[in-house]
Amino acid sequence: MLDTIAKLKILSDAAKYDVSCSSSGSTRANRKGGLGNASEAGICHSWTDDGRCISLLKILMSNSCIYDCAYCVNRSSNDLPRATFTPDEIIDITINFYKRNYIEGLFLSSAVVKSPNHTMDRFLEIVRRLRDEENFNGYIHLKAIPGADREILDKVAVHVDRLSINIELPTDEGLKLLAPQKKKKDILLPMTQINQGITRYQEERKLFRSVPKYVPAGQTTQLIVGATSDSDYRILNLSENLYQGYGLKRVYYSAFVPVSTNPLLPQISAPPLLRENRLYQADWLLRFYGFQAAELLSEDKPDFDLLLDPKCDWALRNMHLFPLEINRADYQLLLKVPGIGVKSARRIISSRRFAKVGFDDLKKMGVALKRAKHFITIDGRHFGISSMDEVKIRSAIIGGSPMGLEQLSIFDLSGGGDCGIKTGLSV
Amino acid sequence: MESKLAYLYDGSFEGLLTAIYHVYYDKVDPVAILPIWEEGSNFLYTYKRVETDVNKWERVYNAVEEKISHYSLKRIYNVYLSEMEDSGIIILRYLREGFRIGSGTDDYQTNPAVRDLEEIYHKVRLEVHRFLGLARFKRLQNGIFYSQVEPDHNVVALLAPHFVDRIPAERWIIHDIKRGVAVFYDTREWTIRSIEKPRDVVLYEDEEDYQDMWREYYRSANIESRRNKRQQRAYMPVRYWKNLVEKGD
Repeated sequence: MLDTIAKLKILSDAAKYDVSCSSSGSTRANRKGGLGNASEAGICHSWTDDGRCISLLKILMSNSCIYDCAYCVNRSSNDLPRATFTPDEIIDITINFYKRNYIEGLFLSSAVVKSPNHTMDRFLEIVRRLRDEENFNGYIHLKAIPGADREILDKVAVHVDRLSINIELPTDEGLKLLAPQKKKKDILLPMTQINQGITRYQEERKLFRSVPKYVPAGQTTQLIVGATSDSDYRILNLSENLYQGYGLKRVYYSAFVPVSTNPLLPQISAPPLLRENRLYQADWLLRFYGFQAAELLSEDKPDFDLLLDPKCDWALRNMHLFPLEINRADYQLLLKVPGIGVKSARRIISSRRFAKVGFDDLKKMGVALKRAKHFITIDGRHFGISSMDEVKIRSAIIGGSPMGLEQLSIFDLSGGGDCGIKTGLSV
Repeated sequence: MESKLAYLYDGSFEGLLTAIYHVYYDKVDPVAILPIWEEGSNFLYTYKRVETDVNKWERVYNAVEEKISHYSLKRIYNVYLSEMEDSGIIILRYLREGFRIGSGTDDYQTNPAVRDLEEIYHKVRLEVHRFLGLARFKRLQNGIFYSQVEPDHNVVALLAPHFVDRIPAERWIIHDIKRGVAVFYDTREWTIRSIEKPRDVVLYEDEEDYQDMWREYYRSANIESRRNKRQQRAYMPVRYWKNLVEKGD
């Protein structure tokens, strides 16, 4: 028998490629005598050497899988040490880590053990005991196992804060090639069921306060970037559909890390982190900046410019909209200016009520003027390249930063999605 | 050359508000408002001490709440806790603008006095938020969960409500060893007291097992091919590492 610490090593190592780490989006008040609460903003407890935040205890219940997906480290044909936690072990570690303030809660996933229903039954036991026996009110994020019965899914859903089902491969072809045992409809069906469950329980809660909350922090998914030849356009379109059609809270993007030498997989030396970052920036534009996927990319221009952030890229192709007068443009328009983020746009709007906003004010409000100055006028004055020539502006913005890396602040490169303090992305 | 006037208060928030009362009453323009232990630190200053007086500080306290906002009061309290040298004078300048502008003061982001206050307020709140995550508790032999911290600003009192809500059924202590103050919670209420650094702490029997598990987890959660120490340090400054189980000795 492996001891707990050996299992922890195996089962956290196997879980770490799931990038979602967030503990946000749920407020769960503590119950009398209980342990813990869920904070709306999310809290990070540590950062590993890769700069990603640790918010939740992210582990697999087991890595002994019945499936054999090419991209996955836990595929049944892979020769690696296997381990399975007992419910007691998971509960004990969660509670004791939580009390020591190491974590905000539990992110539990698993290989498919025996069958989807068997695996989900185990999950149900763990989350039910955490909530009811241990009176644990911290955050619980569970990865639902596609193919399990809806009844189990619904029972699990009222005990957790967030459910996710990873799509992993953004197209049918990719799925067929790399994960032949998984089917698109098996993945999409439970996503639909969760979405329906959320709506149904919300309706019922209006009538009866005693109806429990059904995944109050919503559902999320993850897409792997770079394991197949799918374009950014296809990926972003899928995300948009998931936000609109399935009511997802977040789509996470994970740069493909070569963990297997399957000949079907691309041979790459390093994960495509810059591309992953561009997709996160674009995702942000969809959710907070009023953009649509079809505005940002098209069949003719299917991939983002790695040298420019997606908003800059878009603005340079839409020069007829600029320059905007900073002291008059409304909030929605300010958001379209490269270098102005949600925070700085709000600051501009609220400050304008008192006095005109000048060049130095913008700098102090956190506007990235290196980019923004080309697209705005400040009280009628334009500080950028006067010809408004897109080629010149492009090279001025990229200039001096080989590979455009200089534009990526450390906060932009938040590999783990929305980890850390909400700095947002100033794209 | 005219000498520069600096007010001195006893170091308490009430003392600071009393000093501000005097500034208004004396109709003067000081260059600094400092805690008493800063007396004599600047050769060019003329110092004037004020005695903390409840009638005076309450006048200022109520005026801030009524004429500006309750939120504004919270902000100046946080800035006072920053313990930064210029925080006193920055609060004074902010309140002068606040009394002129009224309830919308904090929206006036282009005003230098509002922005200076905002900057320090932001620093304090950032540190509070960081320590909600970075405070580490050890279980002692007597069952108490003990946390040792060394924040830049005097934030332990701002941390307390969060942990009362989070771990209400355990007794715990958050000890700022830099300032010698600690928050004590006895499962009913929390108090703040000054204490010395404990000489030796005896841990609960299974405490080190959980610390070992946490270190193991911390190591294996890292993805080596994504190594990015610069980002790690930006989120988790190295000065905080020595009190972290996963990073300290």
